[in-house]
Amino acid sequence: MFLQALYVGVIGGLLSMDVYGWGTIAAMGRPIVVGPLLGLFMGDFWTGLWVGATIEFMFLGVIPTGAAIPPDATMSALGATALAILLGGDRPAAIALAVPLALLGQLGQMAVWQLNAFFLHKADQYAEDLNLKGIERMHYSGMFLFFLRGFIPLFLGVWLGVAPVRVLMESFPSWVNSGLNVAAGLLPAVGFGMLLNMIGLRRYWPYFLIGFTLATFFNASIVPIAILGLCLAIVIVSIQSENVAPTAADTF
Amino acid sequence: MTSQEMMVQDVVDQPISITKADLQKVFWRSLSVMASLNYERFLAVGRTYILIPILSKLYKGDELRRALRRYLEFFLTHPYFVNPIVGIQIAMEEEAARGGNVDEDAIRGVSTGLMGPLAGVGDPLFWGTIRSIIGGVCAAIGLAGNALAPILFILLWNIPHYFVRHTLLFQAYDTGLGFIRQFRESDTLQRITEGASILGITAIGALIALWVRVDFSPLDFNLGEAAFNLQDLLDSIFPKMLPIGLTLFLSYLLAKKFNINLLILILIAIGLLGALLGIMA
Repeated sequence: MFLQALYVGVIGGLLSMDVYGWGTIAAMGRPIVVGPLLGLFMGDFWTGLWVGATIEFMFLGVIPTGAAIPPDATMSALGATALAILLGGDRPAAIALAVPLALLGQLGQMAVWQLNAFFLHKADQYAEDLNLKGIERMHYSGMFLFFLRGFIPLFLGVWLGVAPVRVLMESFPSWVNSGLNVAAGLLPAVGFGMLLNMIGLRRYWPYFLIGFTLATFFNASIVPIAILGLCLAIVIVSIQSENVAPTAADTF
Repeated sequence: MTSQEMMVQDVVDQPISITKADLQKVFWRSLSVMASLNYERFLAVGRTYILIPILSKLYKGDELRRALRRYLEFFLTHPYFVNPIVGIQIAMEEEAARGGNVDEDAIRGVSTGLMGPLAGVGDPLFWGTIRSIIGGVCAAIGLAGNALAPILFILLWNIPHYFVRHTLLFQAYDTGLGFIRQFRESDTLQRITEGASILGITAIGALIALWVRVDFSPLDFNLGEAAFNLQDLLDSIFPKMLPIGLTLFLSYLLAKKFNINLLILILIAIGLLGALLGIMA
């Protein structure tokens, strides 16, 4: 288990660095990407895809604004995928673990943001000494801390956590498993609820009903509805800007 | 004349220009701009790191020290919109290094003036709208068992991502301070936000119907001789009324600042209870 923990820790640590570490090169830090990717490395792509997609829904509306750190969907997806796969494709376990893991990831991020202040002060000193390599090294040090933030909990979780979690899951009666499946159906409502608030249902409710109606009564799937939504958006915006274009500059 | 003054003189004598290759270096470095994020000055080290190829080319000695200090100041905006901001500043630094009439406060003012408004546009646009449309659509495709979902997410996300980080960096450098005027005068960003909101809310309406599952089908009622299935009854009145009702209720709670983690735990508890009592599936 030690070697496996090391393997999962390194892969997961690298994937967890996406947004903060080596950058959003491909926006790969989202659950829908890291779940299946870690799954692929661990030999169970489909469990990873299911866990990633489910957690993506749960945290869809959880967004960072300004300097606030939200619960961390990336760490949630990585930890839940790793444990679900090591427990033999145990999907309900992933649902049960998603929130605690997200909070753990959030704490880890806060810790790194604190520790990075140390590198900031070193960078100030290097700037006075015109040591450009030094400043670069401080930047890379922050990157390494973000790697550790993913590596440490995943390594410890897999090394020490799998056995107790397995005992725990096996000791539960069968309704716990079916209950967690019921919860998996309810949880996407949280993300959608947040998004409705953010975008503003009061202003855009007709489009909301169009999407809902197409899916409910016309049995359309999401891709055709998204294409119709895109067309709708383009038409509406071009009509609006024809009407307001002459005064746009004055009112800004 | 001190040696430092001579160096400055040197710089003025031979105008150094920033090439496309230099900007390309800035772009590559900008991908990791968040790596040294900290609570004190946020993106300060990251921004200095991405500008080192430019600053070390333009300045030496004391000038370089002052330039580094300029960029180690407090800086926080949406990570992608760092690039158009530094694009303008690179144009100004180049002008200043050639001895043009650009003072330090003007360069600094670009950061302080733009970082707030661009964060205000970037956070809801990228994290809120674009990510939820693409993430929601791809999660739905993934749960339906399509292995291409993660690849589709990466492809779709990186269209707007590279547009802001790459295209706008070069454009901001080319137009320099004019970029701010363009930004203020054009309604492009407002139109994009409006369009993304319409698309986003249409997709969310559909996703609720498709993926929120509130299923009371195990629950049967016996009223006298007639037996009713609650779920069938509800569906015959209005299909999907429970998923949409639950979502609207949660959005109300969240608008009232109800704690999101607590909400998730409550929903898990409801699921467990529903399964224990045998009324939900």
